[in-house]
Amino acid sequence: MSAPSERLSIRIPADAAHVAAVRAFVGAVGRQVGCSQESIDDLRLVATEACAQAIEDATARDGIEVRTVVEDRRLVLEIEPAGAFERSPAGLDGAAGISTRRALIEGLFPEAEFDPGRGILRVGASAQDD
Amino acid sequence: MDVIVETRTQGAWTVVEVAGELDLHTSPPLREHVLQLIEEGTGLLALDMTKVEFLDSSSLGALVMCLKRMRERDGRLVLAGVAGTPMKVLNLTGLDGVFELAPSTAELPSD
Repeated sequence: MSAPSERLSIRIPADAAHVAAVRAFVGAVGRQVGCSQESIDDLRLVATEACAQAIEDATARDGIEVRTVVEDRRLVLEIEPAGAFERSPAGLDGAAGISTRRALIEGLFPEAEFDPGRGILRVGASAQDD
Repeated sequence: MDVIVETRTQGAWTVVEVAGELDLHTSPPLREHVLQLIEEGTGLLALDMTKVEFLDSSSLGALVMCLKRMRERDGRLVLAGVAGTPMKVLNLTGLDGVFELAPSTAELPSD
């Protein structure tokens, strides 16, 4: 994973049973890049939340693609479509004024980029120093 | 993968041992199992989360549903041994102050 701008991706059906494969993919890439275990865990959680939102929103008729871009020892994760993030998930109504999923993502990655027009969520984490 | 490893009795408590990754796919069977135990009259229920490596907001929703149902029956639901990413998720959502937590099943509150 040392080549600049290396890109990998995984596409899953919009089915909750396949989201674990996304977590495995993100974990493997994160380890190869040299991210800390905490960063990897955070990226896995964000990917799961975005996939779950897309599945619940039924916006992913053609599946969900998760892309990783490695650039300058930084791992950027893109999830498309990532769901609307406008309502609270079932069972957590009233937990906050903004959806619990979005609050989780922004809590872990304050610089997370939501692109509602294209339905893409983008977050990034740096590799650990050697 | 089944996330429910074992359901056992420990003193006055019913303990459900959970393991693996809890998400949109794996949490519904756990929710149904716990709701069934509550329906059967279990009033002191602990979820042993020691071996849970991952937990997302969908799973939190399931756990909140179980907690609400238990409180409607004047029972207690304790999450034991929560650590790592699951604990971080509880903290970020503020639900660490909503659930009753125990360090481990060996340290469950006295009934």
